Amino acid sequence: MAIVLIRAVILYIVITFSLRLMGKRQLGELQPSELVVTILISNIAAIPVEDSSVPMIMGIVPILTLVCLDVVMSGVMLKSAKIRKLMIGSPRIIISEGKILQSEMKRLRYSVDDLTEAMRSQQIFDVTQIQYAIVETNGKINFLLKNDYQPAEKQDINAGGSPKNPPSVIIRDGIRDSDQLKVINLGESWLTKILRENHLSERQIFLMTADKNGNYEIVESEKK
Amino acid sequence: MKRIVISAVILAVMFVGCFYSVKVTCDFSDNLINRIHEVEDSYKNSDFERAKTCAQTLKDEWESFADRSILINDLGHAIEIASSIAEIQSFAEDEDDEIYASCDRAETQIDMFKDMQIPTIWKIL
Repeated sequence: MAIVLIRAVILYIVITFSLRLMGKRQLGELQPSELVVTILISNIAAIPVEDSSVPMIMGIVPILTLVCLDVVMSGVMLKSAKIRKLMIGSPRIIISEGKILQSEMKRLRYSVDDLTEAMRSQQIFDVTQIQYAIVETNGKINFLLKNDYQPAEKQDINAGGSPKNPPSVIIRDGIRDSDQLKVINLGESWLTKILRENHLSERQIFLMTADKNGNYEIVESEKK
Repeated sequence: MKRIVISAVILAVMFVGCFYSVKVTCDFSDNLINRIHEVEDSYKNSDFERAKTCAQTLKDEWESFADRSILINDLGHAIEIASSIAEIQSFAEDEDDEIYASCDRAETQIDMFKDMQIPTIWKIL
């Protein structure tokens, strides 16, 4: 009995350390690979506690392997957009310019019920109010309401405002996302011009977003 | 970045540790099997004193490794090997011909124990 108690304490320490190693991101929305690791950890940890004839190292080694692989892979994904896309996919638009993209919904195996449920959870009860709906890589759907249905902002008091387009991330951590540049129809030459105007190179930018109207926002990198 | 480095280091240590444990287990199992052969050969040549000494050494060597073997082996298998080795020692002292059967059984069990640690594609699948 004492062995089970000691094992439980050791596994508690190992799992706490492992989850700490996985980082705070783990406590929020889970990516597919993180979900798999979390479920596996809970199952693997139970085996050596339940069966004292199984060596505890048989539980610790796979737990640490899964967690460390997950952390290393997240590091690799930070560096490579291709691997990130392969491992966690990319966000998908299912409502564009107020039009439901049925083929995309079918491809993602999202039903109308899934869509309406996600709408209701964000206090949206009329699909015609939605300008854009995007399925994130963790499966959550985010909505951008049409201009008329958005809460008024200070800048709206003087300006009626043209239809808003969601800004796209076109540079993340110093790396250009050419696909997003195509989405906002601005092209590489526009980006080069903006960078020249701001006396910046891509490497000096931590985050740059832009919309179809050419409005952009730049967050410079703190790296020297 | 620190997390990634720590993870990579832990992975590397586990990778080396796991394969090192396979090597240690294989070497030790081969050593035990050689020791069993020595007991058998001595007994066959009617050198009972040497058979007894080898059986005692075999038992001592297994006991020195048994605690560590629990790390990589399940308890049931370790108990089986320990009891077979104890039988060899007992039959050697009694000069009982049953020793041949005990030696064969222990050799098979140790061979299986060694075989279990080697990662072949079939065992992984």
